[in-house]
Amino acid sequence: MNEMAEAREKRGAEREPLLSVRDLSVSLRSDEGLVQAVRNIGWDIYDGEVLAIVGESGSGKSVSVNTLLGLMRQDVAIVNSGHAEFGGRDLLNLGERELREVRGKDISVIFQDPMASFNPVKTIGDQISEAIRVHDERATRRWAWSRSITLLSMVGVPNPELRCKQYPHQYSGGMRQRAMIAMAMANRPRLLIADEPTTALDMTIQAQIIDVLRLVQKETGGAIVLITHDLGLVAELADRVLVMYAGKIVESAGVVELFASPRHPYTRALLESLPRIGDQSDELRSISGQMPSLVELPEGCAFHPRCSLSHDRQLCRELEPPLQETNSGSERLSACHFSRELDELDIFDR
Amino acid sequence: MSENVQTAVPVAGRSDEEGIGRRREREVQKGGNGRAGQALSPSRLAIRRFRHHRLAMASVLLLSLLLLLAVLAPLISPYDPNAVNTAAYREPPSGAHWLGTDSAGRDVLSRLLHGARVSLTVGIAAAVSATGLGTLLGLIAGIFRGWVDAIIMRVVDVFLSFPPLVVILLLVAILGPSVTTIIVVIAAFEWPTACRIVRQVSLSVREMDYVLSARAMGSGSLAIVRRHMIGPVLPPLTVVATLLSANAILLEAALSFLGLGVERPNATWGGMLQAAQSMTILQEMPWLWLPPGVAIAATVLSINFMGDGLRDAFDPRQRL
Repeated sequence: MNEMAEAREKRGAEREPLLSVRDLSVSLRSDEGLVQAVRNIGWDIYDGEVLAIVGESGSGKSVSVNTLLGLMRQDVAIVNSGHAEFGGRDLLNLGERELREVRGKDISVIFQDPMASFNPVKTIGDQISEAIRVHDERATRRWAWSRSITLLSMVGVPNPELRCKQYPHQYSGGMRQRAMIAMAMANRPRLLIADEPTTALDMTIQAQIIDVLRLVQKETGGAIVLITHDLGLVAELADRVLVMYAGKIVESAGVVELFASPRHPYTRALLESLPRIGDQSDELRSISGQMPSLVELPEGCAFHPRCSLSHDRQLCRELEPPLQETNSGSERLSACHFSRELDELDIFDR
Repeated sequence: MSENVQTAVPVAGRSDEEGIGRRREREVQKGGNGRAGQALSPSRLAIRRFRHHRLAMASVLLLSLLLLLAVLAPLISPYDPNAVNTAAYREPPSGAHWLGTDSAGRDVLSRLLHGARVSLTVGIAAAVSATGLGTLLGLIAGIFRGWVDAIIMRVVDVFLSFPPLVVILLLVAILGPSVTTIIVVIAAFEWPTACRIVRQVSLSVREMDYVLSARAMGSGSLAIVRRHMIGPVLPPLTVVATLLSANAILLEAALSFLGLGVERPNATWGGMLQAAQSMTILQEMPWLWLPPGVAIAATVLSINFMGDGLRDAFDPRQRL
């Protein structure tokens, strides 16, 4: 399951990855049984990079990342296997106390719903200050407060002195997400995990938040893991993309290559389902069928029942394809037996 | 980009009376202090709502007066509450004895004032220790969950399945009546109420996204309890504490009435009622039972009104 590691070794170990996830498997307890939410995934992220993890709801994007920080409910999530090397330590082996040091300081999270991510009865400034003071015992209340004001103005909140004293309900959705970003970058984390940062916002605000994220990255020079199902956001922000399906990575590619020529039928179907300006058809294209139940996965490739390429071939039905290089020596990885057949198809050919 | 600063302007078109609407508007402007966009903190809003609750404010006034009288009782009592005076046997109210004298010739007013000390001590101490214990155990149950939670909640169930008065009677009879015993025993049977509330609130708060967000920023369990759980737990607890203290006062009165209260001859309201049980007294000497009866009823009623006012004040859906 270390295809990516091998690929990297072949490339020659140029840079040390900031975070290196290997062989991560997570199951979730549910009434129906154990849900195989994440199945043997591995990825690297380097300093200054924006790595997008794309996939539909329930494909394991958030679970894989929340597990790394120990944010999953312990009575629900079971980590079956995996390593996550960050700064010489394995995040999955750290105790709660050590993990607490990492959270919010080295790695911060921006959650999807900025409405719910602030305590409604505490002022924004109070909450950002607390995030600072958790990691810096010497920080005085007053210093943390003035730093909060600076942070708010950095993410483009107008009139930050006043806004610091306000409660979350006095913020609009976009402003709240900015404040969330300000809080996440309070301790200059090396890695920022943005879990669907624009999902709860409308289109115009989304564009602003993308700008803020870009600015934040420039400011901190850190890396961003962008979890999203919004391919537009991926195209705007990401350097590299991982596509997840049914708890597995099915394709990994640079953002330009991915959009130009997907190497997995699922990615292709995702791109095809994007509505396009100038498209005359009345219907939205979608991928027929549903993601298989993660409690009882079908044999073979998890995508084959919905795949337009499989044609119900025996190989697809019986053997789960490994994530492998599409061409030898290439950095592009795809988990499809017949990824080469996709070369012949032009995705814009309708 | 221009985000409009929201202020809590009363919703127009609601079927309020015109006058109330206008008063609210004025309050909002006053609260704004001319500084646009800065809302009052939730606790200050609650205080303000409480101060607009007339019945609750009147009760607070009455209770403060009572507390003052109880504290000053040794100084302001006209007589020693336990001084027996056979010459003044069951005298009706007069200039010398404002509320008359009892069967042992003791001054009823002095006994009433000293009785207030016992009632309020028991009420406050029992309620405070019961809520304290309940909060601690409730938080532990809510945070650790699992078997810790299960054990604590089963203990709560056990306590709630006893008829409190009967068991308390028994315990007091075994341990011997004294103010301390009564407080301990009452608190021992009242903590489950507080415990359940705290557990329930902390269980629901811990699932909030902002708690997850705080954890993601590196806050530890203790910091999360301090910052995110104490706040939401306090309002219902305050209300429960007031109601528990009313309950404790009633229980103490009942115990004294049954002869198992504070050691005699110390004055308590329940004890005074007990001494006034005979038909002759009930029919012909109302000064022996009316004052302690009224005192108990008024105190308990005031505490309950105060609790109501607190509950309304803490409810964020209530406006002003």
